[in-house]
Amino acid sequence: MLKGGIVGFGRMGVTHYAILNTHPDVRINTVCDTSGFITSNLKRYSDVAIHDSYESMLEREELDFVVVCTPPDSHAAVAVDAAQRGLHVFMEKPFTLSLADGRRACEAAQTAGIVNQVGYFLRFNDVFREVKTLLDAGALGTPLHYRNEMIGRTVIRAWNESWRMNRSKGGGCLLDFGSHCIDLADYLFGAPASLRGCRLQTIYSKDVDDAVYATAEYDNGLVGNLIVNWSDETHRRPFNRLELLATGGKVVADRQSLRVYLKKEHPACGRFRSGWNSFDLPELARPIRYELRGLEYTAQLDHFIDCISDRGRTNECTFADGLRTDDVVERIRADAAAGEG
Amino acid sequence: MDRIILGDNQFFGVNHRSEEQAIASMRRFQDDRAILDVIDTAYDVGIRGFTFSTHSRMAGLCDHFRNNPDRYSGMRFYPAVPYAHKYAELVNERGLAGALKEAVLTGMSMSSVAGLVKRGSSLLFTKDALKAMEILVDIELKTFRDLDVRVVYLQNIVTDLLVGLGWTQAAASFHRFVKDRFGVEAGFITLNLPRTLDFLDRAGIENPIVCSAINSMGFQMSPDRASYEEVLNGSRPFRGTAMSVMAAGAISPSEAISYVTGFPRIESVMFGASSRRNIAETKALIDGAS
Repeated sequence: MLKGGIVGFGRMGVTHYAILNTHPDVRINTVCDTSGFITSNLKRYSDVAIHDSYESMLEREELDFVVVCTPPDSHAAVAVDAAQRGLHVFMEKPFTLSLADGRRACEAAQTAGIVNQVGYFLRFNDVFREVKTLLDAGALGTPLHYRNEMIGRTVIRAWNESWRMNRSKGGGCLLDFGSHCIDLADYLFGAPASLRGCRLQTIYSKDVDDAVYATAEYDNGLVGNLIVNWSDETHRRPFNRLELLATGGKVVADRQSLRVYLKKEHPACGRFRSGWNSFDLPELARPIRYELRGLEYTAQLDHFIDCISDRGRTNECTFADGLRTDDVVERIRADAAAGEG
Repeated sequence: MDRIILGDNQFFGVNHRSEEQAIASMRRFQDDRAILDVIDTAYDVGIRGFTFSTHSRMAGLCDHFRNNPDRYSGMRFYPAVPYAHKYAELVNERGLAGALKEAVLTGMSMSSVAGLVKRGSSLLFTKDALKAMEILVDIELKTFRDLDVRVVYLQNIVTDLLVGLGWTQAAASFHRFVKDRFGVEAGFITLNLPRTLDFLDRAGIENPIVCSAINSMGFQMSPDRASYEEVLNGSRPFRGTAMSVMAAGAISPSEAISYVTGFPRIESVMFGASSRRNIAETKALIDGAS
């Protein structure tokens, strides 16, 4: 039985707790949070040990792993501390707020030889996994252009007191929504050679950006447009969409549906024929042992636990992957700042 | 329980298959009249059971039902609480702890206005999430006052969270509260039926009312279709409502209904449709299979 602790009991903390609590090989022993309201209710209704700081949790509890769901400004410190104690770490996204911090956390993880993962759950979505399979098999030929969007209504008025509105805590649309798109592009196409025409737009917020626009260029000639906005109230909930044109066809994908146009069938991708192919989540989803807020959340945590149980397994969506996304975030900020100047 | 219950996802832009269709349905149903036209159609083909989330637009629709008792004679309601998106937005703005605190404060002030809380006792509520939940359910269900409510469902986002956390006392407390306050049974919507049945068993809720996806593709059926069929054919008693029977449109109505009506534990079928043809056809299929 693996013993785990949750650092930060907000929306993602409670979600990860519930998912891991249903895992047959895991026991969540302890939770740490700074809110008295949260900790007093946890004391009343659950039997986990409660801490109000991660230091005291790591010091006093006997653990195999931690799941870190605090605002991003504390990610690096918790990751380094946990890694030095030999604990496996699942880190919510975005990874860290500076490349120096991110490198420190990566080095600590590598030195300790721990399983390390960042919570970019789109990598575990059955539609986007299918796109990856098509690309890697060469069924789509060479990618030419993509349009990578995430749109939602997280911030639709000026008044808001969440940490997401606070730049020093790691708030803002670029880090919250944009990082998901950047990681998805990294998963499918690798790291871009350059980023140009980057703009960070404010709509409601004062301290952070509400929309991001950027053009990514790749060594193989691929050009990608990033369009991210968390202040568009026409979507009921955050929505990711990827449209890709390639020499061998076209892909239009979101978390629920996949449309693929292939010029030619490919032997490694038998379910796709030449011309248009339409698959929706009911046809693509793999069975999952427990579902809360989307299959991907369970899939990513089960992968993390599998990697701890079976150290021969390849760890996906690692700190190193998270660091590449942090790097693109910094380059977008730098280009946007140069554009304003 | 009604054998047939019309769902409301189509009215409020919930579509598990296509975001474009979701937005198209939000456009189509942005006026209450468009929703009422579909409800009238369903009523006229003989459907009497209707489920609604406690969406803010329900206030106007429920006024309409109350004001026209003859038009809607025999109409029965299966509301689902809480309206999760409202709270999700609160969490976006205030964080989880801030949102819970605000919900408790709102609940307290609204309930003292409505005379639900005895003077002086409200302070007891400030730190108790379960009490807060009761107050909020009470407020949300005020929309349905004087209407014939048969079951109050707990939305799957909350049921499945409680199941994951293992907080049986929260489920038991919701069940007891709904019975004491409204005189009806609570039902539990879930995407994890076998696990939820075990959980409700531990919570001491006998012969529970549960609502879950039931379809031959195993869509939204965790852990898998075989485990669902085991409990559907098993000896443990429960009263089942089937939803997502057409797996968001991936299964034809006749195949979907023939699969779902093969299980005696499924007492009712909840489905969403907007056209007269689809509503009438699906109803005829269920009637024919019953």
